[in-house]
Order: sequence, then structure tokens, then C-alpha cells
Amino acid sequence: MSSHREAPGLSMDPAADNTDVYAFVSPDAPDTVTLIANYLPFEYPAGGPNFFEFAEDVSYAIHIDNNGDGKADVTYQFRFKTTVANPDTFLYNTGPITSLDSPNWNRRQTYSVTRVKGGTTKILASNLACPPVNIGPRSTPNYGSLAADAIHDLSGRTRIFAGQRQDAFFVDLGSVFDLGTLRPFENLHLIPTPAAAGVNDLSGFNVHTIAIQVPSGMLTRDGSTPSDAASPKSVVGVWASASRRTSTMRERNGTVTESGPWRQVSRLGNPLINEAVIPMSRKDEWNADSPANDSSYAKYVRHPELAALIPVLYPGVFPNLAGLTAPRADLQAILLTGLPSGIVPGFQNNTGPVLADMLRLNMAIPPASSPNPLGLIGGDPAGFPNGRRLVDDVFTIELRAIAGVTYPLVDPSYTPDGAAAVVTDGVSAPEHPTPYPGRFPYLNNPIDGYSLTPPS
Amino acid sequence: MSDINRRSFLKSAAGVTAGVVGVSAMGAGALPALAKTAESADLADQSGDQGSLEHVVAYVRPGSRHEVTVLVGEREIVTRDPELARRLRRATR
Repeated sequence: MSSHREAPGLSMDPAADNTDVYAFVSPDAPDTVTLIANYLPFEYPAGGPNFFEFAEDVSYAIHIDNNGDGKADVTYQFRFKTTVANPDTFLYNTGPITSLDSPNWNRRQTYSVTRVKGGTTKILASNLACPPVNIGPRSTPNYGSLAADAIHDLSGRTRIFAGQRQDAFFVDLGSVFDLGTLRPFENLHLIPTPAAAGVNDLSGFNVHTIAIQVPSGMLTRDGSTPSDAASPKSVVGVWASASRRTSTMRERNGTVTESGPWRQVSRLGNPLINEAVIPMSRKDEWNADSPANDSSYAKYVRHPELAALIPVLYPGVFPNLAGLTAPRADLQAILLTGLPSGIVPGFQNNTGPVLADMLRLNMAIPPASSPNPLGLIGGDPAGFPNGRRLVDDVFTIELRAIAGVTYPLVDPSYTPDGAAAVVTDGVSAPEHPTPYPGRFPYLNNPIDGYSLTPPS
Repeated sequence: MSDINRRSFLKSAAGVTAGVVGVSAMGAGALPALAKTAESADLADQSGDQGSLEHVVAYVRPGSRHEVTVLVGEREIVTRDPELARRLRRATR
């Protein structure tokens, strides 16, 4: 979760596994938008000597649809290159890494970023440095400085970072996959145990992040800077992907060569959709598909498996949800088209009739001074499902939506169960440090492998 | 500890300067076979000398008797060539 190891095939390919996507109006530069795509789930920080890294043979990409057809109008592609300074050592570093040009750093990565827009491909930059992974106080003694030096300012007020970060996602995986129990409410579960506090099972892990910040006008269909929240031009759809070459050949001497066009193996727009809505038999197919084709998966959104399970797992707690058999037009609107004007006063993030799983961001809505982790259902239109911020509690938001709390948006006669508005896994945003850094790339420094605890 | 001192401390683990890993060439033998068919003449022409530098992967999908899919570089060429498809299948026996 939210898309960590979510598909059977992709779970065997962590370097291409897109774990989370975030899109928000930058709180410290509100005329820009920050797009973040995380990869490599469950990076154990001490996992050396071959620490986690981006794959050279994966094409990573962040896509933006600005006209509602579910197809990319702007794509940023990222390709990585690994350089080994000393082939005769097994060590990642042979001394402290105190700068990005340290001779002690044996295995470093650089990358190029390419923008595809309107059929034109332009290499924005190449040979950009990633920071090293966070090994420990002897090897990476001033990690914050190393990471800061790996933030690159390109022309056109474009800012980029690619490297290891602490995973910002939070959820009680251990409970939700144990027959859907939620620790704060498991006294009400079909197989009851005493209620308990939630556990964030991602708190000890890192991911690899690609973050890009651009002026919002670079993403709109006509190049204008969004200022009218009611205008369709202010809304973009965002998703990320990873692609591999069609063919892989493994030679007898251990070398691997690849040929043919790139094939998408991972994609992610809204959190938890491929994870918890698409059935197992179609997850890898979904990963390879385009948002423009998501109408073929819409039935799983209109009739989510979880909505039928919740009343069974919590007997007597969700009687109204148990009786709700109509197609979930609320979920389809939230996840596949965006909410049109007139549903939530003063808010819209609708991209038209095409059903496409994208993270829809109305870029004309300014960032909140005090973000509510429950986003729109918590009265904060700057949060999920209007894009997604790091602090947004997307698990609880989607759980409550599936439990029926958003169905009155399309059928005012429906009364949600009382539990639908309070159900949660009991996990909130990571506490170390609190809050998230207020500056690009916004995610916390990675946990180092020596201390194995989040930095304070 | 400075970089230099630390490096000296670990000098037993340090070695020579950076090397470059070579990439073997393959596929030169596959192109002439394709070039024997009129349908694939364009592919051979486009590949030209690159045939000696890049892998060429050709495969026939299960159940197909006419199409050969050829991968070279970042390109995929689907060629209708019953004779080549037959020869590739025969080579597997």
C-alpha cells in the first residue's frame, strides 16, 4: 500500500514498483505544482552492501493530462545511470561521503530528465546527481547537506530531486490484511479481540523518490497560470509509471541485454485503487494499461469488493451499507472523473466524461495554511482527492468513502452508517519529524541503516 | 576523519581506477536470414551496420503461422513472412 507490491507480477520487480504518487500546489511557492512519484517499496535502510537504487533499465515517468482524455499531454521521463568508481571493491563507499563528488563514494547514480509535450521531446537536463543512500553516521555524516546538494534548479523555474527518502505513506498493513481488521475497532470485528492503537507498518522503511516542481502554467492546456477554481483549465490529471524493454536476454556470462520498445509495467494515479479495488487476476493488466482505457475496470469501482465485505466483517455495524446495492456513482466520480461543480460547494476537479484513474488536481485552489489530513471530506479542498499531499490520510479517506460516507453526494436520501464517519486504521502521519519539511522535495531524509530509526 | 585519511585506512579495499564494462555484439547472423524475404528488406536496410552492434530478437507468437516479431534497439517490427516463421519453428525441433 498505497501501491506497494500491489500486483502479483510487479511485486517481483521492486525497482519498477511505483508505491505512491503525490500532486499538490507547493505550499511555499503557490504558483508552482509539485509532483512526486515514489518507487522501491519497503527499503530496509541497512540493506547493504548493494543498497537500493533506481534501475538503469527502467524508464520512470510522471504524466499529466490537461484535457481530460486520459492520455498524457505532458510527460517527464527519467533515466538513470550507475557509475562504479572502483570495480575491485565490494564496498558502496570506502570512507565518509561528505560531498557529491567525494572520491570515497564508489557507486553513484546520475540521471537525465526529458519532457515530452505536444509531440516534442526535449532533454531538460542530463548527468544530474542523485544523493547517496543514507548509510549511517560514519559513511554519510551530514546527510541533509548531501541531499540538499542533489536538488537541481533547471531553467524555467523547474526544480528536480531524485534519490532516497523516508516513505511518507502510513497505514496499518498488519491489521488490514488480517481479514480486514482495524485495531481501534477490532472488538467489533467478526473475530473480535480487544481494541488497540493502530501501527504504522511503513515507519521504518525508505523509498526512492522522483520529485519535480514546475510553474503550474507549464501544465495547463493553454499555458495560462490557473486562477479560477471553477475553470476546467485549472484541473490536471496526474499519474506515474515505470516501463521496461520488451525483451530481456540473459547471457551465459551473466550479462543482461534488452531490446525492443518500452512496455509499461507499473502505473499509479489514485492511491489504493490497484491495491484494493482491482481484482488480483487483472492487477498486472491494469498496470500495463493506460488511464484512457479505465472504463473496462470501472465496474470494480462502481461495485467495490470492500463495500460488500465491511458489513460482513463488522456484523451489525454497517446495516445501511449492507443495503446499498446501487452502483457507487460517488466513487466513480471521485476516482474516475473528478467531482463536477455543484456537488461540494465551491469545489470541482472534474476532467469530463472519460473514466480514467488519475490524481486530479485543481491547481487554482491555494494550499491550506493548516492542512486537514482528511482532505475534502474534512472540509479542506486543498487535500485529497484534490491531488494528494504527504499529510493526507488517504487510507482513512477512501475507507470512509467506500463505507458510504460520500454516497449522499449522489443520493441525498441515503443515510450513512454512524460508523462510516469514524472508521479508521488508527494511524496518522509519521511523527518524526513533525511536520514534514516545508520545502522541496518535502519528504523527510531517509532513515539511516545504522540507527534504523527515523531522524529527529 | 577526513576523506583522505579514511580512504587510506581502507586502502586494502580500494583498487584501481574506474573501468568500462564492454557489451558483446550479437545478432549479425539473424539479419541475413530476415533479409532473404521481400517483406523484411526494409528492416535490413534500416538496420545496416547496426546489425553488428545491437541484439536482434525475432520471435513467433504461439498459434501464429505468418507473423514474425523483430526487436532491435527500441523498435519493434512485425513482419508477415510465413517462410521465415516456418523456418524459425523448424529450427526449434
